[in-house]
Amino acid sequence: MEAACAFAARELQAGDVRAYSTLAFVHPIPNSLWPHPVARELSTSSMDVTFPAARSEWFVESVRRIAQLGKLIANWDSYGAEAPNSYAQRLSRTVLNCLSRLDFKPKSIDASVEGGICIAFGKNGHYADFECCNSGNLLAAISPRDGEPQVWTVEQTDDGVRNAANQIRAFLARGIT
Amino acid sequence: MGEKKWQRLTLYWLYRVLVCFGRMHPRRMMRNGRAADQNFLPDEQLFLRCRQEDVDEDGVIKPSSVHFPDQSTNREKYSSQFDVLLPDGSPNSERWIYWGVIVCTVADIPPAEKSAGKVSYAFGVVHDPLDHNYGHAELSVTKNGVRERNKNRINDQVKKTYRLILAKKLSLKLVPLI
Repeated sequence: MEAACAFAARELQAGDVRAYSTLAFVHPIPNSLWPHPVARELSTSSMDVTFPAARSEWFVESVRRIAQLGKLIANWDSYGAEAPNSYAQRLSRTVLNCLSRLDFKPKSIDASVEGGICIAFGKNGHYADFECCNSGNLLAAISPRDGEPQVWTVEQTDDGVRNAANQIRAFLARGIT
Repeated sequence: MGEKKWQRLTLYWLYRVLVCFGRMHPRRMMRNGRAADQNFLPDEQLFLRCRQEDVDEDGVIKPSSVHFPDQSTNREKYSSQFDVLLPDGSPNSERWIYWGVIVCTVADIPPAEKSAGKVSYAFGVVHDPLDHNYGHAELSVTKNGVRERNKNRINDQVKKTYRLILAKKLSLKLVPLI
């Protein structure tokens, strides 16, 4: 663990400011170690790099959950479901990172029987999710309690995911599309 | 949980002993050369098994648990709800006795849909008897009038919309223990 953090710190010094958060997805870091003292020190140095505040408990749990889902084997639902592959895991970590920055906690994270990982939200019977597919596609959906669902393909950039997350958040706040 | 587990086990084994008379499957589940019956009434129930993780804390079935296309189900006309929990000899199928049962009716199957590319999709249910499970049926999709079994040839948004609509219609019949 210490070695992983030290590696991240070296990468940071080399100018790769995203290394620390990227590495956190690869190595599950206990919440007590987040942010690592080395990174915290660097974040307040003259590098003018800002790190997210201490990662919330749900974020750390969610990262662990994705790692767990990655260990599923084919036919885990008894109806022939595919296990989430590395594309789906990587995509879901990207989405989760964005949600963390927005402090937008998902209700559940589950494997999808159609192959992939579903990051779901819900409120008062309204439902929304991100589906990170094994094919590498990223879908977002909103489904009002008494209305027709809407589904769209999300651009796999920070802006794309953030816009979709904001749409979902607004939908859940209003409860209508 | 412990008490529920024992109740379920007692019920299950009574079912197995009294109905099956020691067979792996009840006699009525065997195909015995019977032809498929494609007549479905709109209020006929279709049973599926589910795990605890497929149901959220409000008892709602998660869309991530819905297959598309070709979700296997068991027809009410030829099955009991417990039939979907009977082991079929595949690995881990003996654990199905702890799973739950979810149900929808034929009328709950989403209506036809057109994708952005003007491809028309129609959804339905097809009786697909197996040798040891005559009541087996599949939720099917036809693309421009031809049955499509390859999910990679179905528009992602159509697929997702179908799953969201169907998940809202599914209800829990038997609570899963694991």
